[in-house]
Amino acid sequence: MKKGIFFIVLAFLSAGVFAQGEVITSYFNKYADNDAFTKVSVSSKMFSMFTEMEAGTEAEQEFLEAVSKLKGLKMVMADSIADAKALYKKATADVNKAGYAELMTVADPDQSMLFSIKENNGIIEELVMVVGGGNKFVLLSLYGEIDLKNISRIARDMKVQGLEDLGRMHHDKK
Amino acid sequence: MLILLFLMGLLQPLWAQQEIISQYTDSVKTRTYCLYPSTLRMLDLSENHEFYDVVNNIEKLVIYSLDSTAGADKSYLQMIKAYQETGFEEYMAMYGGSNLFLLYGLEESTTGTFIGVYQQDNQPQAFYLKGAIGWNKIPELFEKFQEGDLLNIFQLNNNKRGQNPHHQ
Repeated sequence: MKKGIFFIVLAFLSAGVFAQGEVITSYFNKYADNDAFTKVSVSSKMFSMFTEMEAGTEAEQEFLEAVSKLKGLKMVMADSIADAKALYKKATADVNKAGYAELMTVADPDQSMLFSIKENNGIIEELVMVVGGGNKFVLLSLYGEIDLKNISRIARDMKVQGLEDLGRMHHDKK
Repeated sequence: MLILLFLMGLLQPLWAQQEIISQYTDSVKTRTYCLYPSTLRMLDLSENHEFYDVVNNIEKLVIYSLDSTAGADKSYLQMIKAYQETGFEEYMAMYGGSNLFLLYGLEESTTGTFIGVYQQDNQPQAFYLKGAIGWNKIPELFEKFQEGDLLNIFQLNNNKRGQNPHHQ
């Protein structure tokens, strides 16, 4: 009986692990060969490079602290598709269905945004951002140990197209 | 004799690391740029510290301009696969549309070896880098690049780019 409970708990734990990043992974695979979509993947190896560095200035220290707890980033984006709004609706539905907690939405006639998170014991383990409208669509997943205060700092310093919208979240929450 | 064998054992993997990209680019490159610390510093026309900090610990950087066939058939993916089989791991990948930037690396004690492919003016470029990069200075360096403070070596004689001398 104890063994049975153990396996059931293990199965639930495994499901939780596999669920991490499941939405972004499915979009990554779906649009892998579609040149209308740019796919970006930054691995934990890249982020680990930042943890080994010594900061020279206060600004560098802030940046290194901000990225040192991140484990990865994945992004699927397009800026010239006809059905961006429809894709946004589908992606937000997929995110909600996958059990992410909604953090903030921005409903705008031109461009809507959704920020959702996956938390574990009060620690944000994954932040998902969906942007859609006009011809633009972005689905981004940032995972690791995420401090929302540092998101705008990362967004500003990494200068990756699409990531700048993460900075809006911290700004809008003030 | 033992020392010689030991040194040969050490040198062989180091030589083999660049061999994969060299072999691949033999048939698809149009131009090769080989840069060492002294030549890297010469690229910094405005002598800004961010650039110096990024390149200061780079021992060697080789950039191969690839011909248009490499971009069309994505044959560079085979080269990357060969590196992955020797232990190189993905650091960053960006692809789709006109975007292309792939970075793979193998870390050693204090330095590392990095290989990758990126696109410059619709022309694929492959690179091999040995040494340590000042990653934390890169955001500031990007700003300087955007302001045009640094010499862009790829703009030199680019009227002959895309022509593979081996195919002429």
